[in-house]
Amino acid sequence: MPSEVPNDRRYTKEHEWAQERDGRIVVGITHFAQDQLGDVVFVGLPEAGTEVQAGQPMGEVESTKSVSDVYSPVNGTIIERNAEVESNPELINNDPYGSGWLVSIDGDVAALEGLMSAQEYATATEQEQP
Amino acid sequence: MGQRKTPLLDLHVELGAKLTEFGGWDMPLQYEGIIAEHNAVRGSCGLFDVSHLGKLRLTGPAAQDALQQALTCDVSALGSDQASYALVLTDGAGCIDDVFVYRLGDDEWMVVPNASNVAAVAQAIAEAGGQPADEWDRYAILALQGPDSFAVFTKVFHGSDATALPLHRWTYLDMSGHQGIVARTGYTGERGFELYVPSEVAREVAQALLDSGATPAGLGARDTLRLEMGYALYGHEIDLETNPLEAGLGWAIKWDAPFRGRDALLKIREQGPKRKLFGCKLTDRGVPRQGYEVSRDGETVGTIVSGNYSPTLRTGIALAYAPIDKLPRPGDQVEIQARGRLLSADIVKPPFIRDDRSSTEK
Repeated sequence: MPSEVPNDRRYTKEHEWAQERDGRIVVGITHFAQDQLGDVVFVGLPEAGTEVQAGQPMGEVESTKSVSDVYSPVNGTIIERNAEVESNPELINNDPYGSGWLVSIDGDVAALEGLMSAQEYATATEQEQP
Repeated sequence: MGQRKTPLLDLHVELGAKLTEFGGWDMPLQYEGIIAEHNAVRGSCGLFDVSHLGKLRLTGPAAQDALQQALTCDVSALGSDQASYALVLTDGAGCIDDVFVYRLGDDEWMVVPNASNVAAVAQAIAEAGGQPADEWDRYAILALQGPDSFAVFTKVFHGSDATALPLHRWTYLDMSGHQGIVARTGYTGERGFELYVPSEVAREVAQALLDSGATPAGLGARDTLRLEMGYALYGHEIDLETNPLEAGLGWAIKWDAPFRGRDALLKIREQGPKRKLFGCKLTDRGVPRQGYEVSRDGETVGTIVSGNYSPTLRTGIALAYAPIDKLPRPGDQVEIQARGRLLSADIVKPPFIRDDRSSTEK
């Protein structure tokens, strides 16, 4: 399935995206990830104030098919979780890069440079396509 | 990838299906999405390709006796326009499979096992003296299910009176010049048909049903639909280690028939089953899954064998087993241990969706 990978943000190999907005790091899961999951029916997200670590699970996303951990792309502290997506998990399917965002983190913005670019992520997921 | 191909594989790919390997077949898991397809079946009409189901044909005067021994239903009581659900048991009353058996004539039968159990069921029938022929590629099997299924069917098969058939009756049906079978059976809890469509015309028939308003639906929705009804699925509620009484399938046993496993099952009935199946409906947000433990007041009482999100109830539902001395009762509250979180649930008696809709049928 051809899908645009926005080049205004960075990506993890676990299929999260991370974008700096006004000094915060906003995190969600990619189009590829939501397509693999199918209909998302439940999102479990960390509360504001939770310390998160790069590469460690910080939440979960469940679909009618399976459950998947969400990993933090960076070290930091949760500022906000998206209450809208908790009550309407289908936003993750419909708009993964926009209103389907999951959390914002007060964290190491410079560390985003160590994550994959859109081009690198697109290549990585092409190889993962079943 | 599987080795056996449904005649509708190209159609599924054109419709954008995500395929999954199922019992040696590549079958559609979903098209647009499991929830949308589930809701189409509950609200209007869905079309499933279930061609992976087995098709074992038996002919000849010895077939009836063999099936009477191999199956738990009263085979001899079936008329040649009838079908019945039945179990195939081991000597110890474990479940080899659950099947539908069609009496096609005085001495002609078709047994429909689960895809992964075709060989085991064929063997059980052979051990009972039957000679089943595996006709896996003769038909595509289409399930047309939902409150609008009769209207969709009639649009395609104008002259057919199959809509007048009672539940679990079947009739031959001309399908583009080939003889097929239409039966009033299904696995969704909605009214509908299962059509045995000769492979040569399968694509044509499927396309006509879609063009007449059926929504393509995959095995993902088939699973959430059957779970809402509390129907058993082989490998979950029943397997070789499970007997029909603990699975709540006593209704599928014709006790005075001479079926294999009867002695062992009679003993179990006398002593009472050691464990039983029960239903959970979540009051917390989350999705119960196979293998999760169920606890009450901190004590583990059971294990989930089927769990998912119910699109109709918009919450998680599950079927679980508990030892009889710990069996929770309807109205009890339990917790489900979901990956480190405790999810509260009410014990309910399946079906999870009530039979108060006029279109609902078992």
